Amino acid sequence: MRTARQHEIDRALMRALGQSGCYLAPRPALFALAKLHVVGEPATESELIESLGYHDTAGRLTSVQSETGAKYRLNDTGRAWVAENLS
Amino acid sequence: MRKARPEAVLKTLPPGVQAELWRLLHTTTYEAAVPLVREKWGVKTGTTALSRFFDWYPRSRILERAATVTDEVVGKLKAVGVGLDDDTASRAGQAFFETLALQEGDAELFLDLRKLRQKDRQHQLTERRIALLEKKAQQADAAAGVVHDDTMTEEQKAARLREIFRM
Repeated sequence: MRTARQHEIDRALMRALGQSGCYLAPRPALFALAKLHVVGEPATESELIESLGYHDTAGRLTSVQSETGAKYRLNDTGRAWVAENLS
Repeated sequence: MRKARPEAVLKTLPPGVQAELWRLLHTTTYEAAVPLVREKWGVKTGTTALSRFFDWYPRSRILERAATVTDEVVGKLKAVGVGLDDDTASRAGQAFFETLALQEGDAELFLDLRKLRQKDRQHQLTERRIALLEKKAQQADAAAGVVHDDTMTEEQKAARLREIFRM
């Protein structure tokens, strides 16, 4: 069960990820944007990492580890989550 | 349950509504937009919240903008017939997207750093103010000591006070 705060950050992260379309978003850009979408207390790096792990474990993301760092985009399950929770 | 802050309400509107509101704010004043927003989307807001939304909205779409520009560039490259196969176009698009996304992200970082530098400057000014106040307090203590010193003549006291206050 997610807390209200965790859910807020989950939503912010998915709002940010939803923008990148078919492209993989580099983690620094993703986190910078997700922070802008968090309403209330600013999100910390560890909160965002936890949320990213939560979505990844739930199978909503395609993640790639490359030489230039980790990159992410939504998969079909993630897009369904966005449609259900953000629109 | 706590009441949501006005700008929080605007930040969590569905993306399509946010885009429409953003366009609306280009065509009218904040004052005129307040009743329009309430009428159109049932959102109670104020001019400050609308102004903050106007500043926040373009910054909140950096990845969307990067994806749109990348799509256009890849589309044009394909259209001019430079012989890009789908796989190469996709890889080039990804590299282009990342560069744009990180550049935009850096712009945000730059703003944050600028804010931090401003805070540092304010901190320095506060420290300087405290140092000046401490110096004045020391002068006042020294002056009080001179005034209450019965071993000194009036001329000596005046000379010492001028020395303390560098007059």
